This record gives sequence, C-alpha cells and structure tokens, in this order.
Amino acid sequence: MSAFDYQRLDEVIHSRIRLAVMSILSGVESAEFTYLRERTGATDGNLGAHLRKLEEAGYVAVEKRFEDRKPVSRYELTAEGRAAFRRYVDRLEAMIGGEG
Amino acid sequence: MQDSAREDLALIRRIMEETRQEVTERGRHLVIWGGISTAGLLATWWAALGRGGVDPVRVWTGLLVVGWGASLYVGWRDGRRARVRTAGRRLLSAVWLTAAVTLTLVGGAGMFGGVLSNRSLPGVLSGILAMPILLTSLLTGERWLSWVAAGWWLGGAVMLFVPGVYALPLMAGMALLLMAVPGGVLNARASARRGAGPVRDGA
Repeated sequence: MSAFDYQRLDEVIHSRIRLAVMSILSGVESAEFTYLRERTGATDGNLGAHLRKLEEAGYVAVEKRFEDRKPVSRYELTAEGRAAFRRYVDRLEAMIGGEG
Repeated sequence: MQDSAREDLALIRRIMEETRQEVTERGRHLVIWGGISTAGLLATWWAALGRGGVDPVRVWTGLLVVGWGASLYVGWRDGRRARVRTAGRRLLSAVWLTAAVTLTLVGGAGMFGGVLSNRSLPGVLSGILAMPILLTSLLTGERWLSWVAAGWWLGGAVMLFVPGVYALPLMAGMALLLMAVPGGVLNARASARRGAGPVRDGA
C-alpha cells in the first residue's frame, strides 16, 4: 500500500473520536449523545463538534426531542454513513493485507 | 502506516464487540422469574406431600400476577431508559416475551385446565425454558449460558423419563440455580461493563 493509497482513507472518519463514534453506531440502531460521550470519553463540546462534522458529511442523522422535560439527542448512521464506514474498514484491511 | 491501520482495525473490532454486548440486560427478568418459580414449585411440592394450608392454584395465580406485573414494569422502565437501541436487544426481548407467554399458557393449561399431566409438566416447562436461554447465549456472546440451557434440558429429560413428586423440588432448585443466579450474574456483568469507562481517551 503506497502513501497515496493511505491518503485515500476517508478523512471525515479518520479521526480517533469520529472513528469510535462510527464504530459504535455501526453496531446499533441508534444511540444517545450521553452514551456516545461515555463510550468515547470525550467532552460534550469535543464530541458535539465531531458529531456535527459527521452530520454535515451525511454520515449520521440526529433526532432531537424532549424526555421528561430534558433534551435528548439520538444519533444513527445513515445508509451513506454505513457504506462509507464499510469502505473505510475495507481499505484498512487491504493495507494490512498488502503488508506481507 | 500499516501499524496505524492495524491499531485502527483493532480499535474498531473491540468497540464493535463491546457494543454487541449491549444486548445483555435480561438479568432482572431471570431473577424475578427464578424467584417466582422457586416459590411456586416449593408451594406445589408442599401441597403434593399432603401437607395442608397451601392451595397451589391460588399461590400460582398470585405469583403469576406479581411476576408479570414486575416483569412488564421492568421491561417498560428499561425501554425508556435505554440510551442505545440495537436489533439484538429487540430480538432478545421478543424471544423472552414469546417464551414467557408460552410458559404461562402451557403451565396454566397443565395446572388449571388439567390438559397436561402434573407428572410431565415440570419436564415440559424445563425443555421450553432452555430455548430462550440458549438464544440469549448466542445473541449476547455469553457462552456459559449455553451450559445453563443444557442444564435445563438435562433436568427436563430426567423429569420426563423418571417422573415423580421429586421433580417439584428439583425444578425449584433449578429455577434458583439456573435462572435466578445466572440473572444476577448477567446484572453484575452489565453493571461492570457500564462502569468500565470509555473505549479510548479523547483525541
């Protein structure tokens, strides 16, 4: 795998927190913001910024509502997000496969 | 670069495996029904030995009302509190609801309607109960639960092929050891996972 190929990794996903978020959401139907924060260990502001970037790329969708008068944000991967994540994992596997 | 790719893949796999275990939240129902079944079976045994003061039909009616009420409340509360929704969790809920309805119908038909012989009832119920436990093991990756399911099938086979009054205290012991105790273990493991911290520090 050449440096050029490595750079073909999706830059939207290629960040520690965004990768963790995509990995979590790929295994569930949806997850609340607090759950993602707990699993990633990120701060509210940091996680919010990463989620906005994923949302702007069309990889995640958010549903906001009130439960017991508290705002709750629930995130899920879009079809585009699932396809992008699959491509990302495939490319990582190809890089390791090309090692030997 | 390849080291980085390997680390990223390892992270992805670990997160996905940990997320898969999010379906393991059925422990409280097992504790409830393990306790209900133990109490009901011991009461039935007491009556079967000819000792007075206990009407198994009344005892079971009360226990079933309490069990279903508690289980439905726990299910409703857990559903509201669930911060993550997974297809596995919904499937598991459906499996246990189906099993609970079937066990209530078969148990009720045997005890109240006399459709099934009281001698065969414990074995039949044990055989049915093994199925959702095995499916729970497969869906959650808790492999030790497969041995619990095997225990129910083995106990059920013994009770069916060698019927007798002893089956009642035997099944009561199984309800305690192979239902309530595993439920407590599942709860403890779920609590430990929730307190395990993030998958990776922020970066």
